[in-house]
Amino acid sequence: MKLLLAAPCNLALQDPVVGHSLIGVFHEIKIQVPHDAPEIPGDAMLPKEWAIFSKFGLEPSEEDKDYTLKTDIFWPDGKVLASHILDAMPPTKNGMAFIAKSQAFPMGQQGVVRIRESLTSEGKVVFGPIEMEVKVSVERSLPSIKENK
Amino acid sequence: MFRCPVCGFDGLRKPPANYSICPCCGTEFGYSDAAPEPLWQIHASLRKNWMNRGATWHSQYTVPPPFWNPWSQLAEAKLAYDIPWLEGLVFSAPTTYTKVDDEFPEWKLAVA
Repeated sequence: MKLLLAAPCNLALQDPVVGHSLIGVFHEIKIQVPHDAPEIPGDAMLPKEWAIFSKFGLEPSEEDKDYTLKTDIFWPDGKVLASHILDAMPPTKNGMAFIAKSQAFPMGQQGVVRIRESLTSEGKVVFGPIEMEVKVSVERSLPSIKENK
Repeated sequence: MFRCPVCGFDGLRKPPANYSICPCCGTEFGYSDAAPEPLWQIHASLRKNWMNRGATWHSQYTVPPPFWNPWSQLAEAKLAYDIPWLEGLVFSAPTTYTKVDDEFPEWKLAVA
């Protein structure tokens, strides 16, 4: 078993001929809000489509088994934001891939959003945990000189 | 299951009509949204009120789903466009990368 890639991205595509394509792999989200915008709640989520893509290479002896990927996403303060369990897509010649899609990204807290994944088979952890990080920063823009006057 | 047109909660056991109440935002369909204006307009106004109240879970008897988040729920229901604190917000996700295993040359990686 080998981890080939694990990354958050804007979009993950799967094609039977060309394999997988990741569009916009990111490790940081920068948010700017107007200086006079209302306060952002601590549990705020940015409506932004994104996905967590993971791909594993399998040895011949590891094929034909059922695999499940558990993904936990944590707020910067360590609280669990979401937890998903995904069953493996049928293994391909390139290995086994998981795509966990989401419609919103956590932005209520500044800091590092952690994504933790563990691969299990027959009730046992066979790989991981793997951890990915996305840095979230929120900045308030300064009022213009004109507005200050 | 049915989706609430006000808050986007997708666990309604009955269609949003006939005085059923959404456990998430507390809208009573047929009562809270009874007005001469078009329904979408009333629902948008009820949504705004719910968000202004902090978008909290309404029911004391029905518990929210695990890891329930009102803003994710609105985003999933494509109802996040009038969240007040999103106005004027801009974001960027600088894209970086790449480490692709040489054993798998057919691996495609597109970076926007």
